[in-house]
Amino acid sequence: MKVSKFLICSVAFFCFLLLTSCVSDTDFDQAEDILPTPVFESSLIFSNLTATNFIDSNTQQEVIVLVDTTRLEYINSDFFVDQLLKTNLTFSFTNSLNRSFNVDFEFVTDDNEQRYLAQVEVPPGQPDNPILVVSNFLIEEPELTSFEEATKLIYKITLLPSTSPIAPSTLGVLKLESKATFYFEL
Amino acid sequence: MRLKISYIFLFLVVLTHGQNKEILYDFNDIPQTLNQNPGALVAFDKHFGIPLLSQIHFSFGSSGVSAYDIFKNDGVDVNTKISNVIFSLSNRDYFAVNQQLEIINGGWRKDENTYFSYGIYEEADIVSYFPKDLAVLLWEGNANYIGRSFSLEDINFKGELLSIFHFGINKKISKKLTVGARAKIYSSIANVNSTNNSGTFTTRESSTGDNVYEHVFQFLDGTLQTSGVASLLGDDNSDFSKDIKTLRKRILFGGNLGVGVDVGFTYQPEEQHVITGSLLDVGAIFHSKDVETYHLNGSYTTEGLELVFPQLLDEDGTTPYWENLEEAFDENIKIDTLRNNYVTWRSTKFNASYRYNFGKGNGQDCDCYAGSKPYLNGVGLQVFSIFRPRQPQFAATAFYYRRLFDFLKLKATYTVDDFSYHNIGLGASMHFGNFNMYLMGNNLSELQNISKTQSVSLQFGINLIFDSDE
Repeated sequence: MKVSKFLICSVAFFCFLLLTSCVSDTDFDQAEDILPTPVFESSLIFSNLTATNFIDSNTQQEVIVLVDTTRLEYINSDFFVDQLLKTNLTFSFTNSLNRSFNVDFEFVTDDNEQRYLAQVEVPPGQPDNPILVVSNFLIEEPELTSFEEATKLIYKITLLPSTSPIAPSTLGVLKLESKATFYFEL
Repeated sequence: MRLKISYIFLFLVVLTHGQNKEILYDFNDIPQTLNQNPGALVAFDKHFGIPLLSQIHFSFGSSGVSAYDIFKNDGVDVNTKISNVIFSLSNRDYFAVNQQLEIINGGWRKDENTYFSYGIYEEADIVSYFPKDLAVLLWEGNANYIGRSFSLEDINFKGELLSIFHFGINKKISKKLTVGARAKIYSSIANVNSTNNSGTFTTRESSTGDNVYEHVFQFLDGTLQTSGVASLLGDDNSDFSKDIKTLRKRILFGGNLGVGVDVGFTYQPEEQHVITGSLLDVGAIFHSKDVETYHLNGSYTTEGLELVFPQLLDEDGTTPYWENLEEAFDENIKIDTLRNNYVTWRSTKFNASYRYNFGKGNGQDCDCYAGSKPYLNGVGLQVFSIFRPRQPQFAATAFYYRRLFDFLKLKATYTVDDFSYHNIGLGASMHFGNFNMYLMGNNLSELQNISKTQSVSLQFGINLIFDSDE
């Protein structure tokens, strides 16, 4: 009965290996804690405005308010609404025009209802001595939910009254650079 | 009950390794050795595998990481461990899954020098390189990598589900040389592959100075080829049983067909010295049915949206900056769906071995076609290589073969490969009358904690073997 004895021995050996094989020192429940938290940097809007931008072509007079609008579809996208934890907007102005500006960045819905407002005051600069203003806006809950309802950005520049209005020949540039840092939790 | 048993078998074989079957190779007592080397020495007259049970094989290999690296219970945050793993792996690390199930396997001797064998088996083969750049980008984002290029080249994978019909001839040319060849017809059930991608995505400081950053998509060129997939995903029916019916048809020549060949030899310059070699799956599959290829191509750079405050506004009072950006992006970076036929090459495998036999016993058994009593021991070396998309993978094995009794043959292996430097395997072939059962597994030393293993292989099969001289 050697035959069956060895068969049993062999099978028993493999069974032993299989049965004693185990997963130890591990905790697979940790899978529930897996949370990718990527941080993305993205360019936002930019502009380079010279004296002519601030002159009304009909009246040849300095304008009081300058407005432009762009859609920013992704803010309201499902992905942003579901996964965005917070965001930081950085607006960086370089002003070499000898004028002060109040700048509003209005994030609005399709119906132009305001959801978030970022305001920057830009002091006057000189053509040979531009002034740099960097403003950061950290948007977290509870503001974030409101912010994520926006689909458009209105960029509004208000010129504060001055005794020396901008003329077509005025030197200098109002330059805007901006970026957004998006903190996701996937 | 039957279902239960199959689950148990699946469980048995779920712990496994790449396509290397180092224990089965040159284990001439087992008929399935002919699938590893059609030129192996055949010492029996007829064999027939028990349908669906003649060979069950499932293998998994991961060259750089094990489950233990991520899930070990050490109090470290799991996300930190994942970060560490992502940074420790390179784009040359890979994950491979291979599973085979023999449906039919049989063979018969035509004459003293010729043995025919045939069969059908199902195979699933998936290999994916670690897409390092994509993983870093998705896991961490681009914020810490301003100026660094993320490459699309890191995306490299292929997966195939197919059935294989084969017929092999084994011919003893002389006392010293036996050669063999096997013709194969492949019926591909489903295929996906994306192996030739290039291009980069970079976020860097603006080169014009107009804005903070510029985002550069440079020379993107990516292709994802699929066959047999679109019809399953695209159909409106959510009826899974219908899909199963479609798949069943494809198993029997209903898929995309291909042809291939295995060749091999055994050379015995002297009785005690045995040299073997084989080349398996030299072949290709021609995909023409249910083909869908997605092609990504283009370059584009953006610094964001420039607001120009135009004096003349359109009807809505705005310039469509966002729409313009989307349009420019779509114009410059195209994603096309093509229906071109394509060809995939099988992952060709190479085996070679040298064996030294020694110690003849007093048993009743005889290696009748070798014309003498068999040696009881064999030691030797084997090498294995498989051609993968990025580079071939290699393994080297030292083995000891022992004919313990006429009814019990054992083979122990020690293998070095991409997955491990301490892979010990053991195989047993048991013979009772015409009944043969074999069981083999590797990475036994690590079975004590499966989560630490980067690969394991277990094979199991039952055959009937007939030898008229016995």
